[in-house]
Parts: sequence; structure tokens; C-alpha cells
Amino acid sequence: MELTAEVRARIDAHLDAVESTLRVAGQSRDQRRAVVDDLEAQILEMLAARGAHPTMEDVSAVLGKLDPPSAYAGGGVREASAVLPAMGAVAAVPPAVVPRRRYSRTAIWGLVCILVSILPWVVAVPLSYFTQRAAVVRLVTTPAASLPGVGEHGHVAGGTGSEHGVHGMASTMPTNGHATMAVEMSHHPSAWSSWGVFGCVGILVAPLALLGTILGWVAFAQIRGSGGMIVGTGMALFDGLFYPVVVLLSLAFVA
Amino acid sequence: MVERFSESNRAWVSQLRKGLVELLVLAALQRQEAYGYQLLQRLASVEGLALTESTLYPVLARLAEEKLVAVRQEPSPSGPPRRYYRLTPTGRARLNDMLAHWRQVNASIESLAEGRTGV
Repeated sequence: MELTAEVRARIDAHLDAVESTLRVAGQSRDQRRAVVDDLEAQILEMLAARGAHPTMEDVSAVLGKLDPPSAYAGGGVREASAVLPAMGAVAAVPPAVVPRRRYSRTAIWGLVCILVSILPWVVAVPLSYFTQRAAVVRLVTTPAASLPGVGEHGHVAGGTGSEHGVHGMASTMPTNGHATMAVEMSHHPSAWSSWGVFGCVGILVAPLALLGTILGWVAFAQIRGSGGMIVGTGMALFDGLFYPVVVLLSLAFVA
Repeated sequence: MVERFSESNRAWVSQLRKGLVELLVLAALQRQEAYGYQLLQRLASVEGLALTESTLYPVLARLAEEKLVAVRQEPSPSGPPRRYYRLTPTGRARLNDMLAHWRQVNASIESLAEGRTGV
């Protein structure tokens, strides 16, 4: 039997659709291959019975007698309604088998990765803020006479010193001619440590962020190729776009 | 027959047939090996036992994976090699168990329906 390229392509498209349905239904590779091989042998035997040079009409007629690819969604435990007409009992067309839809597990795992990668930031940002506040306040003891604004009883009303970038201070009562004061440094010694914290967190979460983004796009491709058997496009797009958008916004902000 | 399998009975018949598919396939292979399409035709030749390919082939693949049937390939004049299925000793033992249970259930139902249970 000789098959034209067009006929062969039509048969292959049907077999591919069956194989795809079986894959979505969770069948193993060996099982899918066995089913597709059996089905291909049947199709070609049915075609051979129609002549040595089957046409597209022959292929359409043969495929029209077969179950649609969606009928394989049950993976061998399909509703047996299709066999009922063979019992000579039911004249009505058997109800179509509705394949079970499922949510994309890949998209769910991608979302988990994204959420887990966000958690360290939730901790790091407040931690960095409080670390900075704690770092700028120092207690300094100095001769009260050297302080501007110190009265006879050692009260400091306030003031500004230039040394070490002091820009604000308060004082306690002077003791033995010395005063202890809380000084807030004008320069920000913790700014670099904040960037360090952010850098460390970024390095830690980068693999998760990358994995979540990749899983999102993998899930999106699976959903597109499933013919409606897998749902969750919104979640997959969120996974795939979240960090790219964050990076773009950050670059725009820095620029 | 048409009255027996009315619309209201279809769900029950459907469930019954679903549970019997494995028994049907193993029983059809009891006497002689067969390839997939041949097995479809063999079952279709018996009244009330026809299966569709979307039901049969996945079941055959599963039975092969469970080592209840063995597979060998043989060249076919019409195209790709045919996969011939035959019962393994494990499959034959499973079939015998299923048939024994089926006969027992069948006899019990007949007995119940004819009022011979004495209860």
C-alpha cells in the first residue's frame, strides 16, 4: 500500500492527537507508544481494505469510524457507553466523553517558587531599615564645656556639631564636667550594609525566581498544547512575567 | 432487547461493562493470541461484547505493563508491525480467578432472581 504525503500527514495528525490526550491523561510513554502502534496498525489495515492507493476521502472515512482522540482521555477506563449500540439496544447516539480538565501543576509549582522567593524580601527590607536606625545612634561622653549651649546646670538645649558629621544631639545631666549625649550621625554608615543584605537575599532567591519564571513559561506552553485539558493560563503568565516585570521596573527606576 | 436496555438502564449497563472490560480481553485471548484490531473484531463478533479501540488499546497496554499479557511483533503486509498479545501464566491465573468469581456471582444472582435462596 502506498501513502501520499498528504494522507500520511492526516494519519499522523490523528495519532499525535491521540498520543497527546494519553499523555495528558497520565499514561506512561510505553503505554502511549503501544496504544498508538496498535491504532496505526488498525488504521492502515482498514485503509488497505479500501485499495492499494488510499485517498484523503478514504482516510476521512476510516478516521470517521474511529473514536475521536478525546475518547482516550479515560486511559482505558472510558465510559463503556460506546459499546452499547453494539448490543442492539440503544438507538440514541452515546453521550460524548467529556475529558476531565485539571489545573496545571507546573504553574502551581511556579507560583510556589515565586512566593517563596518573595518571603526573604519581606524579612530583609524591615530588618535593613531597623538596622540602619540602630546604627546611626551612638552615645558619646564629652567635656560639657566643649558643648555649645550647655548651661550652668549642664542642660543642653540642642545644637549641631561639625565633627564626625553630627547633625543632632541631646544630653543628660553633666557628671564631673562631662556630658553624655546621644548623637545621630549625618552620614549613613548602614547604607552599604543594606545593599549587602539586599545582595545576599538576591543571590539566595535568584535560583527560585529563575525556576519560578521558567516553570511559568513551561506551564504556559503545556496549557497551550493541551487542547483545553489543562487550565491555569493566568497563573502561568503571572509566574512567567512577575520577575521580568520587577526587573524591568527596577531598571527603569534606577535609570 | 430494545426494551431491556432502556435509557434508564444505560448507566447501569455502562458501569457493568466498564468493570468487565479486563475480563473480556483476557477471555478473548484465552484460546489464541491476537493483534489489537483482530481482537476488536473477535469481540465484535460476539453479541453484546463489542469494544471500541479507545477502550481496548489502553487496556491492552496496561495488561502488558502488568505482565498479564505478553507482546510479540510480527511484520504486517499493510504497514507497521503488528503487536500480537497472548496470555502469560500470570494472566491465565488472573483470568481463572475472575471467571470463577464471575460464575459464582452469576449463579447467585440467578438463584436470587428465581427465589431459590430460601431466605
